[in-house]
Amino acid sequence: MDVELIRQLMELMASCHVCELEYEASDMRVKLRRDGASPPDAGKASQVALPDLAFGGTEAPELREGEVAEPEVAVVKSPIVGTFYRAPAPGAEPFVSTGDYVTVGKTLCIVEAMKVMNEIESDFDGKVIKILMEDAQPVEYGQPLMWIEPA
Amino acid sequence: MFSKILIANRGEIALRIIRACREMGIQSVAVYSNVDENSLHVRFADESVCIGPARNDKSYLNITGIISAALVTGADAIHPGYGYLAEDPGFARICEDHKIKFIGPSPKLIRLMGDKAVARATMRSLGVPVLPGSDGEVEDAKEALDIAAEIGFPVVIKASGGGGGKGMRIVHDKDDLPRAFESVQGEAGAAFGNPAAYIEKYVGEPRHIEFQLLADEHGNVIHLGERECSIQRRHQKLIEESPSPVMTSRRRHSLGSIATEAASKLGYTSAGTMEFLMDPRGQFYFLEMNTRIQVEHPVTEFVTGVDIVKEMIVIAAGEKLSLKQSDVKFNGHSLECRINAEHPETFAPSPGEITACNLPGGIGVRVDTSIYKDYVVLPYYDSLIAKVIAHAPTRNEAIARMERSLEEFVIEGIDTTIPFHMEVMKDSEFLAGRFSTAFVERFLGKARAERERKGKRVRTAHSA
Repeated sequence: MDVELIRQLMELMASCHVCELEYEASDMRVKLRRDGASPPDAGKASQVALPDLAFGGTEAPELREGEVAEPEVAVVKSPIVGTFYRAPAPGAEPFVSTGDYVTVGKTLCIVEAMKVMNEIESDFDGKVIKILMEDAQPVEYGQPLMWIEPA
Repeated sequence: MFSKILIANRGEIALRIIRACREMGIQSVAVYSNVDENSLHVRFADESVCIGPARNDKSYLNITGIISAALVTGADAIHPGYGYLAEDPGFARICEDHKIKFIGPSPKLIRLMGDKAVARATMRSLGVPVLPGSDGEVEDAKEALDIAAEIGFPVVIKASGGGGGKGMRIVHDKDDLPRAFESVQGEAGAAFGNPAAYIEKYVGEPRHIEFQLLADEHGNVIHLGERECSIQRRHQKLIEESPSPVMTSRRRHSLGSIATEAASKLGYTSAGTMEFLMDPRGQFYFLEMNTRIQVEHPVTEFVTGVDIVKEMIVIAAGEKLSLKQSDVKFNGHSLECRINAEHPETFAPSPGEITACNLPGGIGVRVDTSIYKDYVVLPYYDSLIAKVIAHAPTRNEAIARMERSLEEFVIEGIDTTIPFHMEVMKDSEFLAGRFSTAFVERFLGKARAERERKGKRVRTAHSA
């Protein structure tokens, strides 16, 4: 993945006040969207591990630029390959939502692998500032799932 | 036919399988550990999934991660390659349980052939010649002594769960037998979780010759001739060729018939290899059966023109073999040199970054590799970095072609075994085709003596 290219695209979007941009080349596809009007500092995006755009081969995860993390943001990563679930059962309340405060050991989500529901617990006390995956999306090992701002 | 195959492996063999998939119009899924992100199998597969960290047990041996990756990507089959999970009957069973086709034989046959004592007894009952020795497992040292007295020393004690030269001990004298037997049992229990051991007559200076088999689910079984694999160091093959310099077409036909008949009676499916020892008198004995694709399969592909990986996929999909025994024609001679990231004299591993790389090419040359300039050979995995395979009408021409290919092959930044192979290609015993599994040890001894002699001459010159 070409991080430099993405950074350039992000800078271009900011300078031209573009809110959404899709870019496709032979080996990558990326969709960028700017939320809100806060002038972004594109350089900060590199401080967060970006989701692997190649995964799944079809739909690329979105990088929301307006909410670039602060340097101290904690990234919750998937410890296994599987399917990401926000709630314990279909239709149930999600374990956490953006803005929630969580404590160490709190279940944040489930990654299901081979029909085993693996509860992913928080290693941090802090505020959930971003949930990076949609419900029922496949995730790979090491894939960022959430951003938590440690308290 | 399958629509998507997940490849549960890395390196050159993963790439080899991806190539077959692409040519067959099948989507491919690579799995990788996070340090393998820049590998060619990740680059050339249609999709890729990171399944764990560098450690093999957390990534390429991580069954949950691999099955989960197959499920989330919708792969309908898994090709295990060689090594890793290729001969794990438990993995094959789990694939079945998840309605994912395991590209290989049934879990039952993998288990049967994985237990070397049972495999030996089974083959014997099917009319395949085996070395004199025990009927299956040996209970204790006393029984071992009785059998050894009957067949005569030297004998070799082997672990049932071993294979490929692992977990064995040669015993020349009856006084040494009880201790050797117990240590094999102890080591086997620790290493393979199965302390069972068996005894065979020991054959000194044998040749290692194996037969490539293909069998479909419709009862068709064929062989693709033999491979000569006697050039080994510590039971690791270094150079393979087909045909064997000592094979005649009559003997190929008779051994090939024995092997295909046994596979047929077993109900074997997929690709498989029956390994034989040839004693100095020219007698063949069954050694073990490998239930997977072999590293050295390209030499057979060169002389027969059969794509073994594609046939494995065709067989797994329940289709018929694309050819009959009478369609198999042997054409010319092929050699393979395994290039390892190791020092050419000491064989010490040499991981690191490849700073320059030129792959050989030209007529009759095939290179199966996953390296490129700037690639970093990782210390966590096997040291095999490339296979150079040459094909020509005759053995001598194939050797000449191999020699010039090795000259063209430039790898800088790490040590490789290319210089070792170049020396072997010039060795008179090798050129004459007169060798046994003891070749490499003798060759290295000669090379060491030569270096010392040269060293002395230099010192003498200095002192003069």
